[in-house]
Amino acid sequence: MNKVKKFFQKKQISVFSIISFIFLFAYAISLIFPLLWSLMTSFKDYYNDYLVNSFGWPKEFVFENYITIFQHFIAPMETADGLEVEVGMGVMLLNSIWYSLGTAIVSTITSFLVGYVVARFRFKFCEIIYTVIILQMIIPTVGTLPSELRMAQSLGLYNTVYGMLFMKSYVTGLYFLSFYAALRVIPKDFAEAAYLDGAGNFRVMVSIMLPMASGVFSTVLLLNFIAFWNDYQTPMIYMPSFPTLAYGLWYYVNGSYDLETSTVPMKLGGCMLMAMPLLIIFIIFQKKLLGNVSIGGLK
Amino acid sequence: MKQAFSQNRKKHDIIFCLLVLLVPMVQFAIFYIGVNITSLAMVFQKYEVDPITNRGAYIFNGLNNFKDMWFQIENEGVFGTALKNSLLAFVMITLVGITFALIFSLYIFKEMPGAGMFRVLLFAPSILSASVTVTIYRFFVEGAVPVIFGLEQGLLGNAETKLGTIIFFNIWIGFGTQILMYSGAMNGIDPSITEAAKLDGANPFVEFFYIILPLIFPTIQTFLVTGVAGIFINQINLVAFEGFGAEGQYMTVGYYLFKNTESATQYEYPLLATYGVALTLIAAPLTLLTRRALEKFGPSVD
Repeated sequence: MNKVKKFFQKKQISVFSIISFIFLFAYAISLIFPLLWSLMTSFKDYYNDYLVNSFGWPKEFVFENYITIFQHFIAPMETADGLEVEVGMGVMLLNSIWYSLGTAIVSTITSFLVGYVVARFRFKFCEIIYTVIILQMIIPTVGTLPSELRMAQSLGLYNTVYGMLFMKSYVTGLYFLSFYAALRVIPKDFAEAAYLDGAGNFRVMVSIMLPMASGVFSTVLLLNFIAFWNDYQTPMIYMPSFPTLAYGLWYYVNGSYDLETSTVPMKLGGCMLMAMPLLIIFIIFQKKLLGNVSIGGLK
Repeated sequence: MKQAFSQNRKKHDIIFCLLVLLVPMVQFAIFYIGVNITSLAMVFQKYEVDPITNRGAYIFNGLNNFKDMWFQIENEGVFGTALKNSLLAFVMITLVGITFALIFSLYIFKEMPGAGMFRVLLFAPSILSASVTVTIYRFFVEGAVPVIFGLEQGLLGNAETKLGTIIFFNIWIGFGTQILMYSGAMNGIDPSITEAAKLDGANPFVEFFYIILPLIFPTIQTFLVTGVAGIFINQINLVAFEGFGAEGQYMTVGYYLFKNTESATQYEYPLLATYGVALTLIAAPLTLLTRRALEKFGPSVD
């Protein structure tokens, strides 16, 4: 008994770590298992295999499922004349790229710029901006979608690329706090030395401060990119002429009446196809994504 | 000379700040201040089309939208259920989610066996679209779970387990950002503090509740407060689960408003805005009270 106790003490294994490990292990299984099951199911024939064997290994791997998915992955798009046409994966991919990349860039830059000004300058309005952002975070405004739509339509921002980029150039509270926390701790000496060498405010921000906060910047940019890539509700509501892959997938799973793709293996195949690019991005950038981003409180 | 240089620098700083803040300020003015003022105005308006000119316009409607809202709440019953579901979802998702996220973050912070792998795995669901994760989960609980556990019916097909299964999904999928932030905050704790506590004989329990928890509490507070602020916004991924066809008994307020706005015309906007303003009047003081209570009664660093 003493030997067991010594082993646990030596390895610093406590009851907490054992219970946590069990929970985490169960959680990991609960994530991986459905994913593998879905991948496996996406290769099944619905009528001859899935209906009689929803859980087991496929009788035969039906690779044609993915060809059918490619051919039938379509979403409605509104043309300039107000007509509704159907578009395929290529158009949706292009829309996804400009939408997620463009909005991630403007949204990240905006949060950085505001975080920079508030963290580095000591003007009264900096304190006001900080307070407004915190209040915006903690005072919820419910059900503003109708007026947002009305505003976007009346200003000509509805269903346009520039309109969407402008609408997304808002400050995200959590990311603002991350930039604020990262920029505030950088010693003033760096900037002061640059000012003495004749650098202006813009150069100090871009050449000195931005590289020092580049870790947070790239993490926020990636998080934003992923969030916008996955966002299907904004394109659904604000961009009927620019369906993205995320919206296409939502439509494919929930809105389409295509009989050929209405089965479980086909729906799961569509999901697998859409999950792959992000899983690849995640594998490549996981260290960056899981970097040390932290936020403070709401003081 | 020095004073003139300082004045000049201050002027340049102000111009720089204003230029940098120009776009976010205009965006904020339009899509926060403008939108909220429009919402507030719509509460007292209705949309009408002039039969002669065939032009539509918003005209004054007094307090009729409030009367219509109350009539709808009393007679339809869906909103009351949505309200109850929203509160249930908040309690389960925020409180259970934060508790487990803290346990998992501590495990990662302490670099216990497999911590690196678990960190990656816990974050992985956050990178996938809700449509992907919901579809996988939906078909798994309907197709595989009944076979594994010998159930007659899938968990989403059974009216008694459906809401619980959807809420469980939201907890299950939502650890990513929280763990990133909590473990980031824990990494920011000066190691000398925890070392000193250990030398004083503090066990892991004491270390967590009296050192780590108070030091990372501002981060927890942020998630709690934003959780309360989001009570009436949270759609618990129902749009991905059910499209716009969810039955009333499973709706949350966030879903109810989104679903109705998606299919609304100009005629319905004022009533929906009235719901929004009325809910804001409940949620805003609730959030501020939560914040005040957490500041007053939350763990202190002292």
